[in-house]
Amino acid sequence: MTSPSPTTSATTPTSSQSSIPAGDGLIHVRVLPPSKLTLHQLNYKYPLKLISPAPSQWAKSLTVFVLSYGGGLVSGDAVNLRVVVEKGGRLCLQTQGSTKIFKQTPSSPPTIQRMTVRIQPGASFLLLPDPVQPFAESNYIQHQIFELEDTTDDTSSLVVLDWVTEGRTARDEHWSFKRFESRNEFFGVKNNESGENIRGRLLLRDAMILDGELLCGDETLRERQDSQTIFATVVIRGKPFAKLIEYIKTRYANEPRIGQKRWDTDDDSRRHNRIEVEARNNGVLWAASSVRGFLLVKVSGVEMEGVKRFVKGLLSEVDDEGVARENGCITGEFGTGMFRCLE
Amino acid sequence: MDETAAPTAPTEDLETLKSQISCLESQLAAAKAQLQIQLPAPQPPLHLWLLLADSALPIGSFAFSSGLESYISHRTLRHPLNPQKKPTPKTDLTRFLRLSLLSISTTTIPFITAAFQNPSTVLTLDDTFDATTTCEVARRASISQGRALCSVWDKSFASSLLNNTNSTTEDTFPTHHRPDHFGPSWGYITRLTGLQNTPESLYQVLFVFLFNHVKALLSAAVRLSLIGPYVAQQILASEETRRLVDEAVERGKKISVDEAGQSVPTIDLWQGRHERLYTRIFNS
Repeated sequence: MTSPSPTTSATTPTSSQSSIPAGDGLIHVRVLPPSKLTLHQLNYKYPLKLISPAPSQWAKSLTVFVLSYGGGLVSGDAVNLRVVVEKGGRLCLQTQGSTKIFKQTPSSPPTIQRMTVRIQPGASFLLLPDPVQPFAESNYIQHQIFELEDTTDDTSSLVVLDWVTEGRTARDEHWSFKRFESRNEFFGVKNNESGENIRGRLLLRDAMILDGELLCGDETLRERQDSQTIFATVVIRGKPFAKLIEYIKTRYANEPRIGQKRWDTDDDSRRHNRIEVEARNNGVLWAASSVRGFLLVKVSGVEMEGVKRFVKGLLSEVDDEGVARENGCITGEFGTGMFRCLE
Repeated sequence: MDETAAPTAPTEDLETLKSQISCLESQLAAAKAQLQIQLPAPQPPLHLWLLLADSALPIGSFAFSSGLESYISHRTLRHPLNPQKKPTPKTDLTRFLRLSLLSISTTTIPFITAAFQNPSTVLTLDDTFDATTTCEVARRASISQGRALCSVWDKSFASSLLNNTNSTTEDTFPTHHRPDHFGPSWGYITRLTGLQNTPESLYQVLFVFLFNHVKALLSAAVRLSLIGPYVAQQILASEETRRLVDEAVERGKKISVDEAGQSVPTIDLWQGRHERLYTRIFNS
């Protein structure tokens, strides 16, 4: 196993600007007339690394890969990424492999990743990373803030996936970290005295705090998780994703009922289709909620592949036979290749 | 001999005795003053807690199982880590009770604490709690009980209990707010009764809230035929339950509103999936 070098002693040969603090990054997407998507700014500094493949001429969206040197974040690393998607912009953030969180060394602070995303009217943002994989004894805080400029007509749109696994199963790590905290906050914007759009009302907050050092009765964190090895949250909002939201709601409403007898002749019984049965057999459990203008989906499972397949199926709007909808919302808006992390 | 000694005492002795008495009297006065300072202002209002801990309080808690019904119904889809230890209905229940208390301590208790300590900000707190409670089923349960608590306050309690607020306290706050959610309204309404913002009062506010929650869960468990009424009372009276509630109070009141979050993610899933049960007797 390779271990990344500590932050303090490292040099930063590839950072594009030396004036910004370590771990900081900025992605600014602008649309130039008539409709050319450009990366107006792309800055980053060690341990953060951003890679943007050159978009093809007719690309519907820009993709940026968020990476870290050594493939993970060590104790004390602090990443602070700021993203702006201007009017009409389409940006998708992805990763190349799970974000590994290494164990906390004594006397160093928790590993922190912050991201603040501003989405202007008519702009759309996808966050489809690989899962976070906190190793044993790690201590991780993730704080993602999304500022939606247009919540009246809902043209500031997003799909955010946030998921965490139990650790390195091969090394018998099962939820054996010290602490894991993930907070996704969605805000509206308001005008301040000088006419700038600043962060406004809190629209939605999804926060999960897993405390590995806490015993509940005599139960450890691992025992509390009911053999689930992965938890995923998907948050969706905005006009361009209206069909996707409708699809997920319908699918949840048609979920096979719990406690229903097989011989029952109730209408629900004919809806046991292939994908639902497969999800059930893979130990996938999910729930969808419509909350304050957002659709929020929670998924958990006993094994990672099942959850990946399930989430991919949801986001690509598969039919009863598991075939993705042609020109589903995400592919329609952003083009192909958005689901790399779900392959 | 003693009787004759006192009247025949010389006047000088009488004088010293008098000065001794006055000295002792002033000491007593000082000690009494000290005691006044050390005493917590008003004594805990037993009457108030009997009202608020009453299971007949018409806020409809009996209609909610806080995810217990769904948790039990998902029995076959849950995978206990240790399959050798076969859970009984009672151990299923006590486990859920522990998880539920842990979850509430990090999600709801911070908001009750904040509403009790800063009652004038209760509407903002209520809005934040609304944004933070992402499980649809939990939201409905919380709003239903929160609004019911406010109605009970307006229709039944306010006329007799509100008067207490204009006691000696100088920190005044508006009394007309009516938050939607159960947690924020519990903190606000209990403060309206005139409880002072002291650590002792806060402890009682939180303890009674959580104890009520345990009672509601146990009552739901009896109606789900997991346990009988005697076992329910046995669990309620047990040292372990008292300790769990205590720990939940201590854990939760240290968490700020911005740090609140779900610490038992499976609870959101079980509770969220309550709607998917084929048959159900509870609203959550």
